[in-house]
Amino acid sequence: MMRLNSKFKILTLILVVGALVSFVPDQKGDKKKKSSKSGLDAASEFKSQVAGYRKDCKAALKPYRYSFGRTTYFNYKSYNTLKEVEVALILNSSYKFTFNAEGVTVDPIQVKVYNKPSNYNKRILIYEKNSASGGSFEFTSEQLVEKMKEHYKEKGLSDYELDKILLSKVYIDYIIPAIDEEFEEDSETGRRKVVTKRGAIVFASGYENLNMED
Amino acid sequence: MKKIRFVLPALLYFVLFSCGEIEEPVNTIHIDEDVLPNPTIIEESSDFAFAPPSPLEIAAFFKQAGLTYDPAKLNPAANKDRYQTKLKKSVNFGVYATDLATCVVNNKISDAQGYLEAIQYLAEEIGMQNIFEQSTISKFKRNIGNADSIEGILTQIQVNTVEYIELNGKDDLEVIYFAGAWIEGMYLGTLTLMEQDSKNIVQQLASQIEFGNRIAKGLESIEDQDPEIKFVRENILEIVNYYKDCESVKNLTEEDIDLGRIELTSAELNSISTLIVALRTDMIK
Repeated sequence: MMRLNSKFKILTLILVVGALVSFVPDQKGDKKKKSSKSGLDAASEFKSQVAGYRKDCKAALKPYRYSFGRTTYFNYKSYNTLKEVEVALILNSSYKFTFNAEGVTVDPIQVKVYNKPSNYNKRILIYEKNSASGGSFEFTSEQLVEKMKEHYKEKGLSDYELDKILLSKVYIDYIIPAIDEEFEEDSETGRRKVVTKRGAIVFASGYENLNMED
Repeated sequence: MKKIRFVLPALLYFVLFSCGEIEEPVNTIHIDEDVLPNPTIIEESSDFAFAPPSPLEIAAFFKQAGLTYDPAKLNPAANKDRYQTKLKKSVNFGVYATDLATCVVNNKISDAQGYLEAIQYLAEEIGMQNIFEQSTISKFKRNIGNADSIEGILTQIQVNTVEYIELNGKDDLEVIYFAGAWIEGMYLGTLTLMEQDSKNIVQQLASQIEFGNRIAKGLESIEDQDPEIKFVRENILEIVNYYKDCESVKNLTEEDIDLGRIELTSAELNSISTLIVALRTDMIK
């Protein structure tokens, strides 16, 4: 009876220790998730940095009034990738477009603006920045319309027709260059995995608000 | 079998080299692989990669185009309690955003207050209460006589909405909200057309119809495809496809579109308007 009792005690002890061990936080995983001093994981920390860039991007719209903003997040891959944002405009309005590329932290990206989406063969390139990384840049809808006019002028259109050019939508293409992949060991599975290198570019549009006050 | 193994390579060797040295064809092009452009792979964004005009801009455009203000044209703010499903609440959040902007650009601030309260109510219902600062309503009341400050408050709500959606990854909510704003914008556009015969409105409306495609795509990517979402998507697509199939649109070139040469017949405009009014009526009831 005594022997049975001690066996039972040992078994209970093993179970209790097992249960406790399973509840001990995974320090490796915890370390991975909360990599920063602020206690945020890397992705959340990046997102909160980008929120700051959004504020800067909006502030750069001055003296235009905020219309819309769009942040494009991307991961660098071993091949070139393209992300496209469709921007709808009100006809004959004057716009300012601002970009903040502080979140482009690995290789610079290309920014190209067209009058049509990427599945059109004959779209017109109306703005291009070949190397966007850090800092900010901007342009206006008038500059884009000028480019459209140049295109159609070369095709022989009269000034009368050129004045009718409408820009109802623009397509912003972000071309993210290929990078050499780096690998690291997954702390949870022990397997080799690709190191994710992320980036973000912030865009905001503002319209000229010159209505007569009532 | 052994013979075949021996004979076949020998035969191949004979065929290849019996004619002497292989000459390079005259018209061969040498390609330096280093100068080849890197192929770019188009990646469908998981996010809703679309930036529509703000409700204030849409409302200001229609006002400038000659749409007269009449509260009967808007979805009454008192309807806010009718909406029971998340889709109806989110769609009408967008509808009211456009109606609120319409009141403000027409300087009907007392009407606007009702819409602001309706939006705040629906925002709470769909979990977006954070877009309103505690002082929004009181700030609004303090500035009733100052249209520019009221527009500033609306702009701030727009900023907060975009920020909330981006920070919280609420893409699904965003696309439904845009669908509502789009439906109301299209509806006001058709009303403007009934009152004014302006070519400019047709161009804007045509351009806005095309945004419908993007909204339909966004609605399609929502994981939880309940019948209400399908209904809205199918109806938006019906409008877009009807427009694309119009005789006046079918034969247009890209140059025609860029140069504002879209001219719809009265019959085509009437049919499009009927579809828009039917969808809008369904959404606000």
